[in-house]
Amino acid sequence: MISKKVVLIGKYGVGKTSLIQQFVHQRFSEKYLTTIGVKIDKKTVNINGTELNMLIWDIAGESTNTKIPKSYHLGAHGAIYVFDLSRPFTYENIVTELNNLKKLISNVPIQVVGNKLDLLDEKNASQIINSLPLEVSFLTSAKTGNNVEPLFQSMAKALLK
Amino acid sequence: MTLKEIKNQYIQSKSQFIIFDDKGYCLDSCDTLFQFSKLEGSIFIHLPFLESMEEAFPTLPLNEEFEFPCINLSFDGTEGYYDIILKRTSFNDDISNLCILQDFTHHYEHLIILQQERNDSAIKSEFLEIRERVLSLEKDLLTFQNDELKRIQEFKTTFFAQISHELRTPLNGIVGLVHLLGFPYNNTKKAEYLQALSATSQHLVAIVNNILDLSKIESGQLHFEEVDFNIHDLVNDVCQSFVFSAQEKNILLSHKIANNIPPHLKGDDTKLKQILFNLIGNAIKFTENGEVYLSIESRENNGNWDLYFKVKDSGIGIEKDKLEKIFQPFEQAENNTSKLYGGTGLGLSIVKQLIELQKGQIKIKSKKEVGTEIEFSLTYGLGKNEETFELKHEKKIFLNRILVAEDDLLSQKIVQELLKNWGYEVDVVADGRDVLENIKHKSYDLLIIDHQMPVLNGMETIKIIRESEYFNKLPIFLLSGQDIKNKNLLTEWQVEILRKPLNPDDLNKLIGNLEEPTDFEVVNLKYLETITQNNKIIIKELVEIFMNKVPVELEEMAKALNKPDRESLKQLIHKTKPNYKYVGLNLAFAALEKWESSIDRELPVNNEVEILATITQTVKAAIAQLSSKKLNLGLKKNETNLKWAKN
Ligand SMILES: Nc1nc2c(ncn2[C@@H]2O[C@H](COP(=O)(O)OP(=O)(O)O)[C@@H](O)[C@H]2O)c(=O)[nH]1
Ligand SMILES: [Mg+2]
Repeated sequence: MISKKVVLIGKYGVGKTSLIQQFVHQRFSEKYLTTIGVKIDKKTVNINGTELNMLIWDIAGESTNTKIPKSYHLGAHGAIYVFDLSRPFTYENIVTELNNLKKLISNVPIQVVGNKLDLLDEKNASQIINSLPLEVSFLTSAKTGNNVEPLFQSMAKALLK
Repeated sequence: MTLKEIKNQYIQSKSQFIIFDDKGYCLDSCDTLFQFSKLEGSIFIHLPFLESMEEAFPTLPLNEEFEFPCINLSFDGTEGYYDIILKRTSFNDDISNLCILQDFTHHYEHLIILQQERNDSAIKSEFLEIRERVLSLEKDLLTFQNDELKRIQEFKTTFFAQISHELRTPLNGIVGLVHLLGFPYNNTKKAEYLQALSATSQHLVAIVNNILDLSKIESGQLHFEEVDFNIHDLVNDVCQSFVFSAQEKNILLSHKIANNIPPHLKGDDTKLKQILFNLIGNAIKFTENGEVYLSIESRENNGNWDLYFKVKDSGIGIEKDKLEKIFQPFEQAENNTSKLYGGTGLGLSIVKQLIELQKGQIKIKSKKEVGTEIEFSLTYGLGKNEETFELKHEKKIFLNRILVAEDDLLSQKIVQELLKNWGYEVDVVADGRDVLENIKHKSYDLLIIDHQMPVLNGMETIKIIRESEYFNKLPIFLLSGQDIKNKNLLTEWQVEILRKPLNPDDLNKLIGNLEEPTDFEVVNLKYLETITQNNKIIIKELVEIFMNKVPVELEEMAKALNKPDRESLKQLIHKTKPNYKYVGLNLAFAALEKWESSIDRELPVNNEVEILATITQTVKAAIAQLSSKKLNLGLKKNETNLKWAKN
């Protein structure tokens, strides 16, 4: 069976852990429990008949990902960069952060995700997205589960290519 | 135990060394923390951390250590935090992978609490920062709004100060001139004062127009009209109003209109006047002992005429750096150029806007101490030659005594003087009741009545007059300052409207149009309208019967007159009689009725030929009236009544 490593990166509190919890266990908690270091979760997905083990690295968020040990990125097959739509601080330097990330893991699919969509109305969300100088791949809510499955599904497909 | 032994024991108890191949099969393990050596199959299944690195192991450089601090692992129901080192290494002559696990669960669990606090407070301060940012933005906005308000306020103050100054100057002039005119010993200069008065008032009108236009331009409500005008008259009018001030400043004011320009153009003459007034006014203002020259040239352009205007003066000129600003509104009002260039600074900006809104262009050239030249272009259509009306009055012979009803003394005087000058006898009253009183005792040929009067107003009075049998033919002009709602009623009553303030031209025209009243009865369809409930079709039919049958019947009556047998005449009269009533010929109807009853009672009627002649005349006049436009019923003219109408 194929195993692929996916890292979730993004500032603290943006909902990385929650997204994984929702994807792997279909649950959500309002309580904020800080992640430290790395916790790895595994989920097997079936993409058009191909079984794939997604090994998802929930990496503790820092104020910037330059503070994260470089070794965490070693051997990653894909990355999901998460920001919090309700906190400008989490997407202010998004271009720099992504450029740094690309230096550490080259030639792998990277998805940019705006989370906590449930906290905004559509107009505000699209305003934010339009103000960003890059393409956002998914707008999700770990709370309602909105777009969580499609996000990981599309990542899985990208991993198989 | 030696220190070394104690140390080794301590470190040993917290770390585990595992060696495994690329497929995850355990080659050796110290099993201090986890029992890996006894596992069946690959350890990857049990440690997702290692599984995720599966593809990476063969790529790792030999003997290089990769440290992974703080990795959360669970195995066999225990969960903890470990620092992990991975190393590609040789083991038993083969290349294998070494994994060193060091248990720091205790240490990291303590760290979690600290980290949690750190993150919580960081998020809190993030929100505080956002709040502060919002507050400071709100503050900025308030300051901005405040500044803007202040700016507008200041602008208003300057603007109104300038405007009132600008208005006060000509107003003072007017007051002074009126005062001068009042001195009896100044008689010889009166004409001069009047001229000055006229120029100053025109100037005032121009300023007020500028202000009004500016507010219309600002609110996007300015409209341009399309009227026929004579360019020569327009230019003469404008230049005429500057003759006095030009003379005073020893300026030669002249103009030239190119010969190829058709004299009659179509467009907004008022706006053109205003543009020229502003430009020539400015030119004169800044010239002393010199020349102001207006020239107009043109080129035909697809049936329209592009006119090129040039206003040139030999005045003080404008400095280059001020030239660009000269067309900006209020630019002058805000700095010292206002003293230099005078006025509100509105004139030129309005000129520019008036020109550009009509798709024209304006250019300015100026040289200090040499003069200024302003050129602009505007397009006009070809106009019609509207009859110019000479204010030469031809007295109407049939018009002798006129009654004027007007409560406003000034207006009374104006109308009275005008009519007296034209040679009419005039009586003046101040309200409708006096009108009714006067017409009973004296006979008038015309009534000029004001709309708004106390006691009985114009409309009420006219209604009474038109409904009375005696005065319904009296020509009436209604003076009115406002729009009249019941225009239809006035047309029906054949009342003409005169605008207030009265333009002598209008009165002249209306009197000129008056026709000599006939001695014959005037037709009146009121009776028909009542009995048919104003059914136009039936009215038309009955009128046509009158026009076609009555003349024939009159001829038959003439023949019957010569017969000894009176009965056929009586029957003819009886048959034709109602037609007269229909068209309101009540006197004729009464005459016929009397005639019929005389025959009936076998009384002698000695002037039968004359009676028939009078009635025939009346019918001719009536048919003429009925076929005239005023009773427009869409009647078909046939041979008979055409012949009759002509006579
Ligand atoms: N309303 C809302 N809250 C969310 C969502 N995702 C995460 N959260 C909350 O945000 C906080 C941080 O989430 P977490 O997953 O721990 O963020 P991480 O630090 O990126 O792993 C928690 O209190 C979550 O309950 C979401 O989609 N909507
Ligand atoms: Mg987390």
